[in-house]
Amino acid sequence: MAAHLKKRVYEEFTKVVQQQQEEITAKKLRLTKPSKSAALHIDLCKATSPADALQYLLQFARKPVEAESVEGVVRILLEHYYKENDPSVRLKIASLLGLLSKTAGFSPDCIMDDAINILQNEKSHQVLAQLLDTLLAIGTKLPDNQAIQMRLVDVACKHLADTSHGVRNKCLQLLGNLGSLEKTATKDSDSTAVRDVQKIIGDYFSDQDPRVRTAAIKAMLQLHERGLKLHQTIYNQACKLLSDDYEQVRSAAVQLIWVVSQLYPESIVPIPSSNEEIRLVDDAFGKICHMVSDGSWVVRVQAAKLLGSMEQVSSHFLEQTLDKKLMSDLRRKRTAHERAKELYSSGEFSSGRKWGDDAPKEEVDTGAVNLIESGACGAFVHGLEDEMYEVRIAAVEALCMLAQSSPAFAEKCLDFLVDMFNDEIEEVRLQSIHTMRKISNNITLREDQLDTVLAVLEDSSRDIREALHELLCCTNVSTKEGIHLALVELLKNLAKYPTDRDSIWKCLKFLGSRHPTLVLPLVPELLSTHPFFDTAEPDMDDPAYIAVLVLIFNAAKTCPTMPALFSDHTFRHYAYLRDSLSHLVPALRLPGRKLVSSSVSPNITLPEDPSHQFLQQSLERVYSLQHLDPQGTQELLEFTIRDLQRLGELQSELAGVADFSATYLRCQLLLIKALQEKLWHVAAPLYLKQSDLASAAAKQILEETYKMEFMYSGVENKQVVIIHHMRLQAKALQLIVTARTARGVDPLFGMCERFLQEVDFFQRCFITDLPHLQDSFVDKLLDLMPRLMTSKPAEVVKILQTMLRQSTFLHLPLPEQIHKASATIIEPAGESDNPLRFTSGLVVALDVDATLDHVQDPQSTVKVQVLYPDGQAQMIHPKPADFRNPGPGRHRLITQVYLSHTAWTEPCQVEVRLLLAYNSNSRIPKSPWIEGGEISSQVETGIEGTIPFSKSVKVYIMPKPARR
Amino acid sequence: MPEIRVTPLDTSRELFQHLRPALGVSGASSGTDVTHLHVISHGVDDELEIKAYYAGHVLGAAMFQIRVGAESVVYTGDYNMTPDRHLGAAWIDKCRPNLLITESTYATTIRDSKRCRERDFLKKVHETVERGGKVLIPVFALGRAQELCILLETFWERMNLKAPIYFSTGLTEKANHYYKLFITWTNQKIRKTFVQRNMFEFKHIKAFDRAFADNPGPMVVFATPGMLHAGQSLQIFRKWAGNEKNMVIMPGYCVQGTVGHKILSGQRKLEMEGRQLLEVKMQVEYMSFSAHADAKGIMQLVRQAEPESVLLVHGEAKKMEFLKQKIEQEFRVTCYMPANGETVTLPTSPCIPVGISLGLLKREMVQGLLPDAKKPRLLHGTLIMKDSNFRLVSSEQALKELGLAEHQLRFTCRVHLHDTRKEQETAMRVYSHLKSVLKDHCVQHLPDGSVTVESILIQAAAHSEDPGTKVLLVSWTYQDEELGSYLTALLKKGVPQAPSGGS
Repeated sequence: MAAHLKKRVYEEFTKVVQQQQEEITAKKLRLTKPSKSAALHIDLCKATSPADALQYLLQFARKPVEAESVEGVVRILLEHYYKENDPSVRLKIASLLGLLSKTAGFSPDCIMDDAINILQNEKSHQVLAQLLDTLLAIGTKLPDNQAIQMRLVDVACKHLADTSHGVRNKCLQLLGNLGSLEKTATKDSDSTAVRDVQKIIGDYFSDQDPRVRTAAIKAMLQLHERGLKLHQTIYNQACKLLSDDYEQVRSAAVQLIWVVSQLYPESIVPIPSSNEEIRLVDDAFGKICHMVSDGSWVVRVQAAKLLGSMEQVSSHFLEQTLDKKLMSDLRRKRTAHERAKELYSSGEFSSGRKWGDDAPKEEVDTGAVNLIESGACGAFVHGLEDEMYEVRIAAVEALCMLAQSSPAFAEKCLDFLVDMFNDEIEEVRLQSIHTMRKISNNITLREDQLDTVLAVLEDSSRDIREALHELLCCTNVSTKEGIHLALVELLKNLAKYPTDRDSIWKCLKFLGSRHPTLVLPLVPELLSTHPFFDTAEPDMDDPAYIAVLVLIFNAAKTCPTMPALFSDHTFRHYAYLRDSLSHLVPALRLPGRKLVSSSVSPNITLPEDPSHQFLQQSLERVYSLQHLDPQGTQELLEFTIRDLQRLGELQSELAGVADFSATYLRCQLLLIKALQEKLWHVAAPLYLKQSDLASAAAKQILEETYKMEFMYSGVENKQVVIIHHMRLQAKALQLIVTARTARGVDPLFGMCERFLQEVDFFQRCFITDLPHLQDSFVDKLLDLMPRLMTSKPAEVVKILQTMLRQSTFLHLPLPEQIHKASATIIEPAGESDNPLRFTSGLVVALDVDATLDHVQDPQSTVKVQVLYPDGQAQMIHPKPADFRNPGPGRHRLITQVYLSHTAWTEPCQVEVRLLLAYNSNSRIPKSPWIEGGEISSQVETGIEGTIPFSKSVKVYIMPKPARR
Repeated sequence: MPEIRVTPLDTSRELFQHLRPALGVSGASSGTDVTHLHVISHGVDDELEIKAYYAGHVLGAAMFQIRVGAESVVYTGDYNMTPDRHLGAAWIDKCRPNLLITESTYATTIRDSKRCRERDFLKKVHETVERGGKVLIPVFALGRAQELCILLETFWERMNLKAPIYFSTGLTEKANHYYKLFITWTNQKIRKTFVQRNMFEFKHIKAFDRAFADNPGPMVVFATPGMLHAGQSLQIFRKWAGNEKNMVIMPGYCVQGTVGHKILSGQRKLEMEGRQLLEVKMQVEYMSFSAHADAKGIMQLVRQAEPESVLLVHGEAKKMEFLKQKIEQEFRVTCYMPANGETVTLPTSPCIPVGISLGLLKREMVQGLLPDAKKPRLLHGTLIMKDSNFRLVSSEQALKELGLAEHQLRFTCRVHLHDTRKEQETAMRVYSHLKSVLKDHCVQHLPDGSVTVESILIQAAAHSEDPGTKVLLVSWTYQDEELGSYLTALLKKGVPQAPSGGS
C-alpha cells in the first residue's frame, strides 16, 4: 500500500515537470504553425496545470475545424496525448479525436493506427472507453474498408474482458456497429477463426453488470438494424433476460424479442412444461403481453408499443388480450361489458339500478382459474387501466394498429375503447377517439356504446368535441333509435356550445347520407309534421333546425320516398339552404322541380368527362395558335381565360387546374399587351410617362408567377420551369421599360448585371429541363449569352426587346393533381353591428377560426394580417399548436389575435385576412451545384413575400379613451 | 437454525401491546404515523432497516419492509393494485424478502375495470341532476369520499355543469386538508396538474350547511356516515326520500341492520325511530368502490416482490385456502395462513457475507477470461474469522497477518526404472517423454541434469546395487500434490524406448 501511495506521489511530481516541457514545445509549434486551428492550439501548450489544459481544450472544441487542417490538429493532439499524465486531459483529447474524425471531407484512416497504439498502453478505464468511442467514430466513417473494420473488431474483442463496465459497453457498441456482416470477408483475409460476432455479443447477455447486459442487447439490435440476420437461438437467451432485475435490460430485451419474432414468425418453439409447440410469433406475443404488467412503467410503455406492430399473431392469441375473467367469492361474474351486451340483445334498456344486477352466477372450478395470466391474457385490459398515461396511450395506439388489421378484433376491442373516452387525461381521450375513427370502417356501434360515446359530446374541450364529430361522420349506427339519440345529443351540444355549429352540421350531413333508411322513419317526428294539422313553420335561422334539415336532406338524396313526407315550407327551406349552404345540402330529385345540376353531377366520375375535355380542348386551341395576329391572340386568350374561370366555378374537381392555367394565360396576355404598347414605336426621349401600363404589367406578371408557384399544391418540376421562365420574361420586360424611362445609364448597369445573373441562375437550376424549352425566350437568350455578357446595357436592352417579341408561347403541361390553397375564415363572421369595445392602449383578444385547404406546412407559412383603418398593418404568426390537422390536405387554425390601437372617436372596421408566406428559393429543385454549397452566391435567394389567400373579414372595433 | 416467527394478532391494540416494550412506542399513538412515500428506507440502527413502499388504498398508506442483515419481511397492510382517480397503484421492487405478509380481503374476487363503474356512477349522477333531482352520496370521511369528490369535480369541469356539489363539514373537510398538503402522494394526473391548480382546491364542491338541504333545484351532497345509520346523511335522506326524482348512491358496503342495508335490499317502507313510517320513493343505487387489491392484484404483488414464502392474513379462511393453493402452484413458494394467535415458524438460511481481499480477487479474475455465471470456480484462499467478521485472503497474507512462518511440505518418491544407459541419458529420455505427454505444462531440462515440470523436480541417479536400474527421484510440494501424484503414476508405467536409443 505504501508503495502504491509513493507511486502516486511520484506521479504528481512528474506531472509538474511535464507541464514545463510542454511550454518548450509550444515555441517550436509557433514556428511551424500549419494552420489557423493549429495556432489556436498553441494555447494548450501554455497550460501550466491539467485544469488549464482542459479549459483550453474545451474552448478549442467550441469552434469548428476545417477539413484541411484536421490532420495537423490531430497530430498535435496525439503528441500531447503521449506526454499527458492527467487522465481527464487524455480523456478530453480522446473525445476530441473522435469529434475531429467525424469532420466532413477528412479521411480518418491515418489516425487509426495511432489510436489503436495508444489504446494498448492506456491504463485508465475511462480514457479507454473514450478511445474505443473514437475508434467507433473512425469505423463508422469508413464503412467500406473491410480490413479496418476487421481490425477494430479485433481490438474490441480484446478489450471485452476489461473489468470496467464502461469499456465493455463501448466494446459491445463497437461490435454492434462494425461487426462484419458477411463472413466471407474474413476468410480470405486471415486464417484466424471466423469470429461470430453474434456469439461474442450473446455471451455478454449474462454479464454481471446490468449496463453491459443492456449494451449487449443494444449491440445485437444494432446488428439487426445494419441488416445482419440474427440467429434464432438468441430468442431463448432474450427470453431469460425478461426477468432481469434491471428495467433497462428488460426494456431492451422486449425489443430484441420483438425483432426476433418479426424475423422468424413461423418457426415453432416448444412450450416449457408441456409437449405442445406454438409459433414463435405467438410465443413472443405472449411474452411481451406479460411485460405489460411489469413493475417498471418504462418497460410497460415499451411492451405496449411493440404489441401494436405484431400483426402476424394468430387471432386466438389476439383475442385473449382483451380477456378478463371476473369472479366474486369464487363464482363467475359477468363483466359490465357482457352485461351491457346481454341487456341490449334482450331488448331492455340498461337499467343498472338493481343491487343484484351484477350478482355472481355459476361456481368457478378452482383448478381452472388462472390468476396470473399465462401469455397474452388480459394484456390490454391491464395496459388500458395502467397508472401512467404514457402506458395507456401506448396501449390505445397498439389497439388501433391491431384492430386495423383484424376486423374481428376491432369489434371486440370496441367496448374498451369506448371506456377510454372517460379517461382522466385529455390526451388519452383524444387519442382513443381518433383510434376509434380510424377503425370505424370495421365496426358498428351498439346503442349502449353509442350512448357512452355521445355523452362525451358535452366535454368542454373543443378538440374532443370536434374529434367526436369527425368520429360520428364515419360511424355505422345500427338502429333508428341510435340516429335519433345521436341527433338529440348533437343538438344538445349545439345549444351548449354554439361555436360548434359548422362541425355539427357537417357531422349530420355524413350521418344522414350514411343512414338514409334509418332516418326515413324518423322524418315525421323530426319535422314535427302531423297527418291532419298544419304545424307552425319553424324559424329558418335556427341552427338546430338547420341541423335537422341537413340530416334529412342528405338522407333524402339516396332515399327517393322521403320528399313525400315533407311539408310545403320544407321545400321552400330546401331551396333556400341549397343556395346558402350548398356544401351541406345536396341536389335532390324533387317532384315538380327541374334538376338543374343533375346533368353535371352523375357524370363527374366518368373518364371521358366532357368538362375535362373542354378544358383540354380550349387549352390546346390556345397553344396551337402560335402565330395569330396580335389582336386575334388577345381575344382568344381573353375568351379562354373567361371560360376557364367559369369552368373552375362549376366544377370543383377541376378548379385547381382551371385556375392554374387561367393564371398562366393571364400572364401571357399581359405580356402580349405590354409588348403591343405604342411606346416601343416612339422615339426614345418621348416615352416618359407612357410606360405605366407596361411596368404595371411586368409587376403583375411577377406577382402572378409567385402565386402560381406557391399557392398550388402538387406543382411539379416541369411547371416550375415554365413559371420561372415566365418570371424571367417579366424581368426582362421590366428591364426594357426601365431602360426606356430612366435617365442615365448608372442604374441600368446594375439592373443588367442582375438580370444576367438571374439568367445564369436559371440555366444552372433547370439545366436538365432546357431541352424542353426549344425556341423559347430563354433558349434564344442562352444562345446569345456570350455576346450579352460583353455588351453595353443599351445593346442588351435592344437584343432583349427583339427576343421578347420573337419568342414563342410555351406550352404549360398540366400537372396530375393540383389544388389551389384556400382559406376560409369562419370566425369572426364579420356580421356583427356591435363594435368590440376596449380601452385604448390595452389589448383585446379576437378569436380567429379558419379552415385551410391544400396548404403545405401551414405552421410556417400561414400568417394572420390585421389592417387598421389608418393603413397600419400588423402581421401575426400563429403558434404551431394552433393548427390542427383533421384530415389529409385540410388544416384548421384556431388562434387568438391581439388587437390594440389608440383611442378612436367612432367605431370602425379592421380587416382580418390570412396570408401565405413564401420564400422563393424553397421550391427550386436541388441540383448538384446547389448542394455543393454554392447557394450563398445566388442572386435570387431569399425573395420573401406573402400572398393573401382568404377573403378578408371586417371586424367592428372601438378603442375607447381610458377614463381618468 | 435461524428462523422467523410470525403470529397474527386480533387487533392492532394487541400488536401495540407486543411492540411497546420492543420499540419503546408509547401506547397513546394510534397508528396513524405519517410515513414518507414511494420508497423511503431508514436505518434504525446498524442492523435493523425499515423501508416503506407506496400502497395506494388511502392517502399515506404504506407497505413496510423490515430488514435485519440479509433477512427481511414485507408487511403490506391494506393496499390497492389498481390506480384510482386520486391515488396511484401500490408498487414494490424485486426486494426478494424471506417472507411477504399480505392482506387477502378479496382472495377470491377478480374485479371488473374501474372505468365501467366510474362511468355508471357519473352517468347516474348526471342524469339525476339534469332531471332536477338531488343526489345523496353517503360516505365515510377518508378515502372513498376524496376519490368520488375528485371524480365529480373533474366531471363537472369537463362537462361544464353548474349544479352545486356539497360535502358535509367536519371530518371530510379535515381530511381534505391533508390531501391538499400531501399532493406528492397522489396519482400522476393530480401531481402533474398541481402546477396549475391543486385538484383538492375544489372549484365546484363547497361545504354543506344544514339549511341547503331544503334548497330547490338539483344538487349533489356527500354526507357522513357511509351506511346511513345516523348523523347528517340520515337526516338528509329523510328529507329527500319522498321525491322520486332524487337518488341515493351507496358507494360501499353496508352492515346488516343499517338503513343503508335495508334500502339496498329493496325495502321501500322504513320504520324510523318514533314509529314513523318513511316511504322511500327516491332511487337507490349501489356502486362498489373498494380500495383493496383483488386476487389478481395480490398475485401481481407477489410476482413483483419475488418472496421466498408468503403469509396470508386478514381474510376468510376458506377464501384464503384458494389463494394459498394458487400462490403455491404459480410461484412454487411456500404459503402460510395461520389463524389469529397461531405462530408460524419458518426456517431461513441466511447468507453470511465474507469480505474478499482485492488482491486475491484480481488474481483470480486474471485467470478466467469470460464471465460465466453457470460454472462455479475453485479458489484457493484462507478464511479468517475475527470478531464476528469474515474475510477471505490469500494464504501469504494470512500468514503475514497471523505472524506465522510458512511450512513447506514436500513429498518425495523414488521410481525405479530399468535403464542401462547413463544418468544423463535417462534424464534426457524422461524429459522428452514428459514433454510429449504434458503438452500444456512447462517442462524444462536443467543443465545439472535434472528435469523440472512446473515446480516438480525429477532427478535421475544410478542404483547403488544394480547398475542396470536407474532411480528417479520425484519431489513436489503439497500445493502440487495433484500433478505430482499424476507424474509418479506416469513414470511408474515406464518410459518408452527412444527409437534413437541405438542398440
